[in-house]
Amino acid sequence: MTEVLLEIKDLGIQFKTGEGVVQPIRGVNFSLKKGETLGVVGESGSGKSVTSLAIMGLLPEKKSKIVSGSIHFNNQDVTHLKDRQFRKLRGNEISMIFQEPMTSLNPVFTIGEQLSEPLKQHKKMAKKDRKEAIINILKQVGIPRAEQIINEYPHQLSGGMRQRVMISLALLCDPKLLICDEPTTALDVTIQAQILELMKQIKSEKDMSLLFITHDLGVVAEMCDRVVVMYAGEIVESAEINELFDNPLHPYTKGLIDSLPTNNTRKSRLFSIKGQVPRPDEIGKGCAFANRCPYAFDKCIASAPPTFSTGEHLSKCWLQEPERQVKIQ
Amino acid sequence: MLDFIVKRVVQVVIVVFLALTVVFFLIRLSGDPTTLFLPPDAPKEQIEEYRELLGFNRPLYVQYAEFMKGAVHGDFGESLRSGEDALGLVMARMPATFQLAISALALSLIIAIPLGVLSAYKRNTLFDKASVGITVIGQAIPNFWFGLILIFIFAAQLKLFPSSGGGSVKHMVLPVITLALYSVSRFVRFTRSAMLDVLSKDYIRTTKAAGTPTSTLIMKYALKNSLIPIITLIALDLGVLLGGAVITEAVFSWPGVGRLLQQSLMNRDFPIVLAGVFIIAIIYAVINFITDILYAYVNPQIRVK
Amino acid sequence: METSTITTTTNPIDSKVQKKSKFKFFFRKLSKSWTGMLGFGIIIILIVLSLFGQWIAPFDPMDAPLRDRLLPPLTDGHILGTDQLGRDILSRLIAGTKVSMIIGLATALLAGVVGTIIGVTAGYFRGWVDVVLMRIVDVQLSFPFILLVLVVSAVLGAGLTNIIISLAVGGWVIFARVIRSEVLAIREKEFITAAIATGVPKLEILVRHILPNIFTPIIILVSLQMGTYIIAEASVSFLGFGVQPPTPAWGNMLNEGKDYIFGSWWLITFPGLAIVLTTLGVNLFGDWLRDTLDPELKGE
Repeated sequence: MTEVLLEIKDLGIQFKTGEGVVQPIRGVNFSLKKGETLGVVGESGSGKSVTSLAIMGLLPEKKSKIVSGSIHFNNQDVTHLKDRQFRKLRGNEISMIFQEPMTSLNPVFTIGEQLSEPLKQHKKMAKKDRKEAIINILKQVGIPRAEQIINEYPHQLSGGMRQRVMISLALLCDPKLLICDEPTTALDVTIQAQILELMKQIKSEKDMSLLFITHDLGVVAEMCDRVVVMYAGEIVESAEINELFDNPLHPYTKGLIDSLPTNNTRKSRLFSIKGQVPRPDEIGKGCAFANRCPYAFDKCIASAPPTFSTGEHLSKCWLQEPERQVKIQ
Repeated sequence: MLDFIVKRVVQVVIVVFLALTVVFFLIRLSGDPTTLFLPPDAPKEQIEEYRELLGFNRPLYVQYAEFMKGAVHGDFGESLRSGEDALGLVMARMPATFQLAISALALSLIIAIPLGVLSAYKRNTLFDKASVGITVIGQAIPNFWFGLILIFIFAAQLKLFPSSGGGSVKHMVLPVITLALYSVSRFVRFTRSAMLDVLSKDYIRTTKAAGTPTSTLIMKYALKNSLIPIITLIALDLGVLLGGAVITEAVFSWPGVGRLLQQSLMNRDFPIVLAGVFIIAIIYAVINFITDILYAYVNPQIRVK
Repeated sequence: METSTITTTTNPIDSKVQKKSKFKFFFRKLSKSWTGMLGFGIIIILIVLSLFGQWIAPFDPMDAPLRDRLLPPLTDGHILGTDQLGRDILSRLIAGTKVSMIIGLATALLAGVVGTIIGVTAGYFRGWVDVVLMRIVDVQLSFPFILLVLVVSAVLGAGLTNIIISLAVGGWVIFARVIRSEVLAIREKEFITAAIATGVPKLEILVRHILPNIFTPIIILVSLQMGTYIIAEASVSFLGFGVQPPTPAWGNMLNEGKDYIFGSWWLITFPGLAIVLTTLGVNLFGDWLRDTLDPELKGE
């Protein structure tokens, strides 16, 4: 069995707001092996971005707190790592690609200046070598005229080009873990396909693990080996990719799969899950999904389900209690 | 670029022309300056003689045309008091005013930008609250009164610095601090809010994610971004600084344009007032022009166009 | 019949209740911000001093017994001392409150009315009217405010009315600018488009729909600008162009007191503190008002 690179156990994160303390992450467990691509799927508000920021050590310092559990990266406990030490990992061993390529690059610095930042921080390289490395990586992510681009400013590039720059920024130091937070959501459909293609190619070329955060199961199907489904701050289901699509155990996962356009082609109307993800302060003692779940029964409202496992396939739903084991259709 | 310059020069000419016109008519409407030079019981013939001599008996439009013709050539007439060339008198006072204004500007920037940056970075801490509090109070203090208090403490009581006049570095200390007070308060507020705005941006998170230390993040990256709004706001504020210089000069008898202007207004010595207005309008326009260039320098989106 | 009488009698009560709750709402909001409270408290004190100052003041502010000249604070019942002519400084400060408040308010109103009319005209009619008016605003803004006030008040001559006019001449541009952009923003709102589409006359749109909506920014601007005017008046009077002695205004008290700075500190200290406290109070209240009513105005 391959080695585990990232292990998150029972992670709980609280945020201070104007009205009091809320807990958007309530006991998240998952692990990522070396070389594996794990998809994290959920609607907005499910807590996937907060989880990824916690892995990067980028949670807002004063407003948030990790209240339970741990994050281990490469056999190192990084849960409460000091910012000074975390800095050595960030952009070096763990990198992240953000959702908004249009606003994620600094408008007053050239592409070259921004790309040399991680190299300056983590690799003791001469200026000439840095330039070479940057041009090299830009070519790898498919940017034409890399030599000129390094002297240009972000506003001179298109959205797709900027996202390629963001990818190259993340790849510069050959990270062990790359977190992609909805990297294609803000892009046109055709550009989306190009960027996904590029990510696949990079994944095949480099020996790194990928954490792919998205609300789009279609993208997950294309990219990932394994999937965890997040809902209202917890993992509700986790399985190998084909297993998840063939045999979803949680009604929420089923709802997500049903709302994929490809599965709806013969239906007259696009399926959608009714209602919205509850806010952290709206969650009661029962299952957080109960109010939207078509299968909900008494127990779901009375108490929150534990995690049930069938081999590698985990789910958090009372339907999967050993004595019940309902197959949802 | 040439387009830009031509446009700006035309703008400056319009501003200066309008300023002179308005002030010219205001002054003429306010009464005849000749009465000021003569004793109140002067005989009518003598007044007439004086008006004839100074040209105030001609129709207003003739006087205006005459004045504008002169102004184009830099001739604003002679001082009604001393008979010296008005523009020359103003120009002779320029260096002193520049000295004061530029020193005060430099002092305010040196104090205000680090304070504003630190305040934004340590948002909602005691330090931030104290610095915001001080700026609020600073903005409520009239700078001439602050000058008087400084004179009382450092000149009258401690006898560390002279209370008036110019000529040495020692003379400069109190006026420069006085003039800087108000700008410091405003600049700290500008810098703090500009910085807070920038620190919440996505691209700052990107830089952080690259493993950049906080000091580099703020001093190199965020500061350059916030300089764009800071420069704009400071440029808008230079008029206040220039106006403040006039009052500060009066408090400390600083031999600059402001003090000359104040005295000339007192004495109704209008050629000097008009020459002063002319110079100030031009200086202000030039400052704005420099600001635009600086702005383009820090903001690449404008530079490329 | 019966119901109609009931409605007519209940209506006035209803509006009274509404008014009362509006006040309650105002104070509940205000009580949450100590800076707003402080500002409001200072303003209340200033208003009381302006209205009833002549009965509160311990001495006649104009009475000048020369033998009592330059008495330090806390002598012979003169809490803040006396000036170079033997006049009681506290009494003169109280009398000066009225002068400052009148000048601040009157200027804000005058500049506000003129600026609003011009801003509304420019923003509502747009086209060449807008271009010409805004050019004038730009030209004036390219000249330092305090200098303009100084030149105008020197030209107009001393006196309360003239200083108010001079300050308003310098101050209307801010109102014109802000109100114009407010009007431009409101014009784009759906309810205006709907009113135009249904054929409501232009003037009625202006009076019934636009003016009520710019009321809030006007109030905020008035309260934010008052501090500027009070300081400007004091500066101009200090330079000898504003309110003239013997009228007890804080600016000319400082002007007269500056000659005694080496011997009698109280002559310059207290009038200055009065200006600082007043400006602070007005500014704090104005800031609070803006943050509560219209946080978007902050950029101006």
